[in-house]
Amino acid sequence: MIEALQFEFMRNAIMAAVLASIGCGLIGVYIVLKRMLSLSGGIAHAAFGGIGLGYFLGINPLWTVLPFSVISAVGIGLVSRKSKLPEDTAIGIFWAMGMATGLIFIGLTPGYAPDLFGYLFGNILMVTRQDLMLMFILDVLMVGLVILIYQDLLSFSFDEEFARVSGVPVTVLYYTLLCLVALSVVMLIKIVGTILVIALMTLPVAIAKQHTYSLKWMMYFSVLIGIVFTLLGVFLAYRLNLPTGATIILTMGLGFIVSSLLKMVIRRKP
Amino acid sequence: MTQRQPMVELKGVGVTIDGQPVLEDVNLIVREGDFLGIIGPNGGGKTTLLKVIIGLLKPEQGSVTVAGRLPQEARGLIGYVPQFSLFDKEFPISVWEVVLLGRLSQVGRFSRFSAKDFQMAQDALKTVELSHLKDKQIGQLSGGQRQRVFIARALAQNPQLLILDEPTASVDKPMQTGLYELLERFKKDRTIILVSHDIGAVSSFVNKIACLNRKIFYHDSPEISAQHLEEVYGCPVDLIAHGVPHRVLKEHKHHD
Repeated sequence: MIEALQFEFMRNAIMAAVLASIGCGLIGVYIVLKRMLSLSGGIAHAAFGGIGLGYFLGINPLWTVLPFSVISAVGIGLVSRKSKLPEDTAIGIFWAMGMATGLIFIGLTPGYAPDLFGYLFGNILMVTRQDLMLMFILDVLMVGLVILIYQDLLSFSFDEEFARVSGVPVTVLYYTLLCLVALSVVMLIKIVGTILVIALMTLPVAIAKQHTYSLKWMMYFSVLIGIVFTLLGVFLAYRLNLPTGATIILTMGLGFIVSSLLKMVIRRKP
Repeated sequence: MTQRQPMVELKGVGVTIDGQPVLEDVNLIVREGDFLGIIGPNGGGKTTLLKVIIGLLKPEQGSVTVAGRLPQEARGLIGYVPQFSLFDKEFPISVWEVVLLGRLSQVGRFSRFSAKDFQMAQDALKTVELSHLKDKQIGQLSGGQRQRVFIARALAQNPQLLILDEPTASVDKPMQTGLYELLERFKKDRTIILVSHDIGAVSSFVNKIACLNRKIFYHDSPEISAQHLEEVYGCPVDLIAHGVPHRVLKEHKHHD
């Protein structure tokens, strides 16, 4: 592994693992607690439209994914809160329409779409310095915001009705959280791709949740677990010559299984 | 004696849910310092009425004011104890953190809790006798203890108006009496609205009572005749259980 560090793509990959795990560990906690998993999945898939747009315009798709996923996040929120449609119907519509839009854009783009597979399934070894800059800015934004509205978010995710009664701006928070989810999607797309994003957002949190009852520790653990397993996945993928995104997810999945077994053993002890 | 200021005022309030009228032409004035008990059959609209008062539900007809303002603008004044709090039992939050959230309505947006907030949360926990469980995760408590946590959360707010929806539903008998005594102390300078199906228990503490079954039947004294209850419930009501046929609501137990 050490000799691999001489390559810039490897150093970038490690930086990306750390940066992405920070933002997504924090937001993933809210996704899991507020049961927004399928909503986040919808946003992640709809974001593919942004990738297509990037190809079509001939610019780094991450810059087009950013507005695209934020707009679809707000769109899903608006439709599921304002219309009579059930939330999962709204999610399904945005999910499919976003992906279809992406495919249309790619179809309209002349020539072959390079690295498309990387955006669908992730390739952490393709992360550029520019991507890292964007990830860093998003991290600062996410961490800052979570610190600033920590109590409001806690009240909102614990008991929305009481939050409303105590004057917490619940609607604003809901859309803020959706936008934060959209930002974490952007961070993860390069690493595991649109299709696997939700796994990386929730697996570290699911593991952390098994071992602590404190929200703050859950966040710290999630970040740490995210970093450890992403790096482990990258290492395994490098050694075994496997696709990085899938290897990271499977490593994390195995981690979750081991953690669950561990918890069962601990519980059984008096 | 000067007339006390109205704390809650409802005029001709009507609510329909899924085409069914739940509240019809409800008129109600709760004055400062009142302790109002609302009783009525299940599905009679009690929780709906409370939601109208705290501004979670907008009525289709009529108007609601709390302390002369719209309910949404009076939120800092209202402490609310819901009948059921729908929350994830595994949610990573401690009893202490839940109670502290009650202070959230009193601190400005983006500001931190002060020593005063911590003190008030601590006092509220002490009042419901749960200080020893302060660091427990909320899901590890029993139903009754959890109910007391939510009461403490409302108390921590130090509200002008305290609204409780079936607070004794999952609390055992000694704690019930304790709770009513606590409210008794609390009511000295505050207004309380309490919803309960436990007519007997409510009657000895409240000073006004309203029966709600889509329409409201309102009394200025905590006495209700059996005939009246029958009108509300739409069937003969057995008051014998409390030992005083037809006049249960006069049975005052407390000694001061």
